[in-house]
Amino acid sequence: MKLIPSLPTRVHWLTSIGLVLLLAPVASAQPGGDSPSLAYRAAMAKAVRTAAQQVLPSIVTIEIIGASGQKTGEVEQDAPTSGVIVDKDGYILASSIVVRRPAASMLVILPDGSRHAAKVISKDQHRDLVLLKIDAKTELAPLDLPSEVTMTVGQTTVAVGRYGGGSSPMVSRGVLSATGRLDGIAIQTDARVAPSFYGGPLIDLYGNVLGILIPAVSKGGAEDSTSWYDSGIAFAIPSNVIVAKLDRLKMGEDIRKGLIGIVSKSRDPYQDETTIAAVRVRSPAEAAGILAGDEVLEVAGRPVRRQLDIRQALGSFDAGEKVRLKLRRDGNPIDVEVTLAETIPPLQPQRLGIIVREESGENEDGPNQVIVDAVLPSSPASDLFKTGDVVTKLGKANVTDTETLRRLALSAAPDATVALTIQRDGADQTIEVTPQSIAGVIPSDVPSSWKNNDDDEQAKWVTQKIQLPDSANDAAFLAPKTGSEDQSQQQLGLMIMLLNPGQDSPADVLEKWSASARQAGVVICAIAPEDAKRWLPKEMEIVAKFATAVLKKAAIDPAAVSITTPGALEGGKAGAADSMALAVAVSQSSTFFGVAVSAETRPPAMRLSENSPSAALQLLIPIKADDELPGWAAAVEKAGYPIVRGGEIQELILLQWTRLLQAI
Amino acid sequence: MRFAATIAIAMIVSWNAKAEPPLAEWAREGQQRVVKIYGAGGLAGLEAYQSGILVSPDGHVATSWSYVLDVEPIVLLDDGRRFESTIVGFEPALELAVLKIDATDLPYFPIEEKIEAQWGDPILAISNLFNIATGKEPASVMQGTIAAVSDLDARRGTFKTPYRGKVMILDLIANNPGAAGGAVIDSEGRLIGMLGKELRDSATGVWLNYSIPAKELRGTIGDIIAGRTTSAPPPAEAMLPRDQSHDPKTLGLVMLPDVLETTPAYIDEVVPDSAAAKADLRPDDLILLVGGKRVDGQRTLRKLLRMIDRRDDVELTIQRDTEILPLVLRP
Repeated sequence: MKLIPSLPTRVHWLTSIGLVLLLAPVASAQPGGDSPSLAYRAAMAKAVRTAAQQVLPSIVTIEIIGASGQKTGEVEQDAPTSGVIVDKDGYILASSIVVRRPAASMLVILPDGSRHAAKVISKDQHRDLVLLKIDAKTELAPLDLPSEVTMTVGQTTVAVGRYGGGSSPMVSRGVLSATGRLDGIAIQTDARVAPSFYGGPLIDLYGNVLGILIPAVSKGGAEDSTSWYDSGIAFAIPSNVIVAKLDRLKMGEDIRKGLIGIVSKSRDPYQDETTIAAVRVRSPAEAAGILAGDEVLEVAGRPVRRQLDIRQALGSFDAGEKVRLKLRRDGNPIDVEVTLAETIPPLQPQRLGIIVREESGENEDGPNQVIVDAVLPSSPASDLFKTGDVVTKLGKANVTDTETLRRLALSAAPDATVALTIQRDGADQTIEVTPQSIAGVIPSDVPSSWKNNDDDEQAKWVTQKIQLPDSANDAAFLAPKTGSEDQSQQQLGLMIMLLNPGQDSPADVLEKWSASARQAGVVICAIAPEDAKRWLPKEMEIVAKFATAVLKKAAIDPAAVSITTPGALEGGKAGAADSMALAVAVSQSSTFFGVAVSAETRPPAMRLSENSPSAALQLLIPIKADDELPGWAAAVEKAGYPIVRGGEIQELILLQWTRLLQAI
Repeated sequence: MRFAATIAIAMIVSWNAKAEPPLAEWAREGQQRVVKIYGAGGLAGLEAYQSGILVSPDGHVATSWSYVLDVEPIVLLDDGRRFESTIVGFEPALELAVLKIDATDLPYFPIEEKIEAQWGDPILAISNLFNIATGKEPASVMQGTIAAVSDLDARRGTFKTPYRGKVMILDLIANNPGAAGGAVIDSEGRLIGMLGKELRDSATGVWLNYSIPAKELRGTIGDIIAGRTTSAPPPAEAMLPRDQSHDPKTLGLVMLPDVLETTPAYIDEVVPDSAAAKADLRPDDLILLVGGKRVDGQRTLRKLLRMIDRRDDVELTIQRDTEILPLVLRP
């Protein structure tokens, strides 16, 4: 190895330096170039400070004293954060993080270091903002919140807050990443927003306030709304929106997201389909006269093509606000005005008691037909419907597919008679029927066509191992041999059974289910956790993927899919699998329609979303009477999930309930 | 001829340096003054490496005082040379250790006395984060700004750092594994700070990106290099023995029964003729601060009182309804 380079190399090097020297002044004159010059950086630093200085007199620190209650996530729930003075009377705007846990006291530290007790005046729960008030004797410097803001994606943004014991000014610079985020309520920046910044302003380089920073993540994006701190994605509520809401907040009015109460026909929010399958009972949509079967064309002047477009267009409206919808009904466009509500009475899912199938009509290109396949014994439908009836209407809404009929029935008003139009023997007929609540005692019988008592060895079901490419879970499923043509083996159910950590292998567990599974016509897939000690949150999605994979292995009705645990059975004990099954069922609600767990299940730490008729879930627990309900049941019922009382649940009962999930 | 060429290059480089060089120049110079340090660790998620800064031409390396230094560490220079080092001094209260390697004429950072870094200033952070550079590969350069200059109130896991001075919070994800001991330089290429260990802010619970200002370290580094015994100031928050410190009883306070993890510091009763009674404390007053420090519950109250000598006055800030009152309790 040569330690001293030879002369030619050095000469070459010298020339390069000369070149660099020539280029250097050019580089510093171009701030946007590859290497921002020192002058540019110094100028930027000065600009950031000058802009921040304009808002700093209005930025306060908010301190929480003596917080109690359960903590969630990594960020301390009583972390000191920022807030802004919004007027001379002592109103302070902060983010919702300051009211996450009950606290003995909340203090506002003004820029002069003085502390003042604050009281909560109102909350904008739709935008994660809280309005506080202090009685300050000193002159306050309110923030200038512009009622009109112009912003361009890519422009420089500066998050400003205060940090630490001395309330030192703190800044983070970034750009505006996007507008209209979180269903239209927020702007997005890549400035590194640590929790101390929440409640502080996001400004431009001239010191104009663009918005107020809030803790937020996308829907289902992370466990906690603070999880995305410092990660280059942060949200702020635009200044003009705050100005528009401020008077309401000052009057002590809480603001909530506006709900409408329409149930879409399509389960896939991205599909080109905006037809309304059902209208929720006592919802704003019902009050405005919106009908099942109406097609949504525009929301607040914005044309919509998909369910997702509707959600996004409605996303920024609050409860109490009016929104205009353009609909198509019977081929004619109509306009309706809906006053959105903050709550809709929880769903009380209803059932008629029929099993249907969907077939193409007489005209191949025309609409499909919904045909009654079986009628549940001792159900409201039992003496009224016959196999072969074609359901054409429920109330005024046309029925041409199973899902629409299901949603209409599920969201029917409890104890109210509905009229169904059917075709029987080539003639139209109207049947008046009062649906039954799904909540209550478990149905005791199944349609006679499902009963399978032959002992044909050939038709015996087999257990096979199943693996997914991206998981290490041990799993097996019990299903008919492929190629089975038996008519009783159609519209089967699928039961996903989660095993407790450290239990027998899935294949061994399925051994004893073999006879009952075939008798009930329910495919069973048993899954063990990847870790021998616990179920992990990341496995929730994997469990749903197993269900999707097994659905393809037999003629299973996609609405007859349940998730269960050994704890749901008679003599079973609650374990990790029970909490996991609840978590999977709620988070993967488009896959699972029933969940059966022990009554002693420890509820998982997750937010319970409202049960929706487009993916309705029912809960089966082995109790006889309502007074045996677990403590968490009230919250579950309030969110619209029907609780089915199973009594002492035998294997066959659990399986039959699974297959019956497809009943309408 | 060869010599002449070398001198010419040196002159050009130094002249260039004075005439506002592009950022790249400072970056390269900084890299040459940052070393990679390998020592103890490697188990249970503790990395066996960190970074260091050359602070003398004779091989003194300032770095972060940590478990990596539990064995005599190996130091790798920017040019790839490898040295065994000895620890010549350390100051846990500053999270600082100084190592010495047997080398001379090294490029180094002088630690200047008068450098004022303020929030918003642009900086470069140079460290061997994630041990990405090995052998003679240079350390990694990151750019960012100073988000805030503030007091530190931090912890690592359950272990709080003893350092209680000013820190520079960085607007940059800088404090990664291996970055501790790295250099933070300003736009004039001067060393303004040393990257700290991975730490969580005890108030907010979030991971901090921070650096300890060079001027806080200057005196101690000088003392260690000069061989003077460093006299560390006693940690400001030392607990006193129970019979020498204050507690609610010595002040005449009866607190609400402490049943929760963070029972708020509400006063239940005030003992007549006590210090608390003389200061007109009343039942239902909520203690917010002791000596300016936040009281998030009764445990914190007792802990803060343990740090105050029984003969000393106690400054309290309390809330009575909506009023915030500062009070002094004289024993």
